[in-house]
Amino acid sequence: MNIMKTSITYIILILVLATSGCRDKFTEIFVANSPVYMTYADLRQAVKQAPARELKNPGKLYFKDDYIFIVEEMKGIHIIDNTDPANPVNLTFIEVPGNADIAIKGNILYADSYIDMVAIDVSDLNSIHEVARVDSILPYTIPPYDENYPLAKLDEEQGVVIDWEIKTVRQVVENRYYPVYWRGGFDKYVNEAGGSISGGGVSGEGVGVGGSMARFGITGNTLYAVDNTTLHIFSVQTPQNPVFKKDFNAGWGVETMFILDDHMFLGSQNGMRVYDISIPNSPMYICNFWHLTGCDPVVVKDQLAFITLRGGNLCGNNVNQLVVVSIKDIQDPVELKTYPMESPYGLGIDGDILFVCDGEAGLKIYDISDPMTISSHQLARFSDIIGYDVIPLDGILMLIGDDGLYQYDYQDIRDIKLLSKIEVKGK
Amino acid sequence: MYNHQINDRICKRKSFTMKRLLFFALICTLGFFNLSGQTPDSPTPASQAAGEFTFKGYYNITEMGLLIGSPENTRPAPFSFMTINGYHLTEQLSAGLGIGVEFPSGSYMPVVLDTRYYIRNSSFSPFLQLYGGYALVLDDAGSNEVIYYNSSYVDYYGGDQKYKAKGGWLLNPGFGIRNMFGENFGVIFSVGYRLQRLYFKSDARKLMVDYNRLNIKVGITFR
Repeated sequence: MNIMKTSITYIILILVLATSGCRDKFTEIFVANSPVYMTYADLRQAVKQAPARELKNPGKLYFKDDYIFIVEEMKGIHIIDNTDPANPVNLTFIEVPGNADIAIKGNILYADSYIDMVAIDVSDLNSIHEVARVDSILPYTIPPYDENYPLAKLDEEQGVVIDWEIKTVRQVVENRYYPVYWRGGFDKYVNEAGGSISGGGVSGEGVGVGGSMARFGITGNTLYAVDNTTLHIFSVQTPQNPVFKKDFNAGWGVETMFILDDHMFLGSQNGMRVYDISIPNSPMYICNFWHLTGCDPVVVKDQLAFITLRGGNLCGNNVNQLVVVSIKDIQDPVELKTYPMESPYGLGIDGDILFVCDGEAGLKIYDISDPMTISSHQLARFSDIIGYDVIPLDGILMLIGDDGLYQYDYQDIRDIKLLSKIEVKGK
Repeated sequence: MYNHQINDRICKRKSFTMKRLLFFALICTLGFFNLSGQTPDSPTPASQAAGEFTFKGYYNITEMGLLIGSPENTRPAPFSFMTINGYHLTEQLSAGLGIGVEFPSGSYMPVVLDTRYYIRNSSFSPFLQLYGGYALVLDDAGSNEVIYYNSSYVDYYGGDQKYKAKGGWLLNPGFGIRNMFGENFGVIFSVGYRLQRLYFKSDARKLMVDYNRLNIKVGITFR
C-alpha cells in the first residue's frame, strides 16, 4: 500500500506541474519595428524650450503676430521671427514630443503631445514654459514606421512610442481562439498611424492663422482638435487653463479642419462635412458633400468651398482633383466644377487668388474670380516648389515644403518674388 | 490578464478531467495484477521472481499513448508511439535508445535516450523515468494547420508564406509501474510530463512552439 501512496503523491506532483502550463506556447522570432518607449512620467516633463535648430522634417504651419510656428514632426515647434519676411530669423525651439498640430489663442500655444493636449505660454520667447496639460485625451498614436517590416507588439502601459528600432524581436503569439486583444490593437495602431492629430486655424481676434492641413481650430473660447473620427472640444475661456469639454463623433477618416464664422468644415476621406458651431460645445451636423475617396483639405471663401482630393496609397482612390463647391445654400452644397491636379496637398486663398500645393507639379496659383474657368486663369506655377501647405496673408505667401519654408511677395500677382527661404538641413 | 484567467480556468477544468483519467488508468493497471491472481497474502511474483530470474540484460519496451494538453490547443491530445531497445545495467537501472512517431503538429520521429530506475527489485515495481532527445521531422504537411490558427504571421501576410518544420528538443520526466508476468513479458503504465520545443522557419521568420503536455502511456516489455 506504500507503493500506492507513493504513486498517488507522484501523480499529484505531476498534475501540479501540468496545470502550470497546458497551453502550447507560440513564440515568433522576426525582424520588426520594435518600439522605443518614452514613459508617461517622462512625457509629462518633456516640454521645454531649446536653442533654435535647423528644420529637419517640417510639418504644419501656423502664423501669429509676425511669428511663424513650424511643427517639426513629432519633435516640437520652431519659432521664426518674421517681422521682415525677407529676412526671417530662426529664434528658438520648443521641444514637444509627439507634436503634429498647433493653434494659438492670445499668448497660449496649444499643442498635441502624443496623448496629451499641452498649453504653452509663449508670451516671453526667452522663457517659454508649459502652463497646463490635459492628460490622456487624444488617441494613442505611433510615429511612422518602416513598412517593409511588421510591427512588434506594443505595450501602451510602457509609455508612448517615440521611435522604432529595426531589430529581431521575440514575442509570444496570443492564441486566436480568445478575444484577440493584440489583433484589435494592431488594427487600431495601423489605422491611427496614418493620421496623427494635427491643427488648423481661424483668423480672428487673438487667434493665429493655420494652414489648410490643420486639425486644430480655435474660435471664440473653444479649441477644437480632430482626429480620424473624433472631434475633441476644449474650453479655452481662460487660455492658460484649457478644460476638456467633450468628445464628438465626427464620422470617419477626418483629415482636416477649417473654421469660418459659425461653420466648421471637416475634410474627410470621403467628403466634406459641415457643422454649425454657433453653440460651441454642441456642433450641429448640417450636411455632407460626398465625393470620391481621397485626401482632402478644404478652404472656404464666401460662398465657395475649395477642396483638393489626393489619391495614392494612403488615400484610397487614385483621383487627384480640385473641386469647387457652392455652399450658397449650406444645407445643400452643389459641385460647380472639378479641375484635374497631379497630387494636391494644402491650399490657401486670399481674395481672388488661390494657391495650391500640387505635389511634384509644384505650386500653382490661380485667379478664381470666375470659379468656372479657374484652370484657364493660372497666374503662375513654380514647378520647383514642392509644397505641403501654404498660408497666404497680406501679400506674403508662407509655404512649407519638404525642403524648407519659402516666403513669396505676391502683392503684384504678375510678379511674384521669392523673399526668403529657410532650408531644411540635416535630413 | 483576462487571457491568463481563462487559461487557468481551462487548465483547472482539464486537470480535473485528467485526474479522473489517471485514477481510472491506475485502477485498471492495479486491477490487472489482481486478475492475474495475486492476493496480498500469497507470495508476490516479486518475491518469487527475485530469486528466479535477473532483470539484467537486453530488453524492449513498446509503448503508445497520448500527449494531453489543453482542449484549446489545435491538437489537444495527439498520439504518441515509441519503441525502446535497451539494457538493464543493474537489477534496478536501465538505459535504452528509443525511436517513435508523434503528431504534435506534423509527423515527427523522436529519437531519445531513455533511463529508468526501478524502485524495487521485483516483477512488480514502480519506476522513475527520464528520457530526452530530438524530434526529427517526418512530414510537416500538418504544421501549417497548427500554425495558421496560432501565428500572427497570417495576419501580416495573409499566410501565403509557409513555415517549414525543423524539429526540436524534448524532455520527458515521469514515473510508472511495471508488472512482469514472467521472466520475458510484462506490461507498463506510465505518466510523464512532456516538455517539447519545436522549431519552424519561413523566409522571414522563425517560430518556436513550446509544448507542455501530460504524457500517458501503456506498453509492453519483452526481454
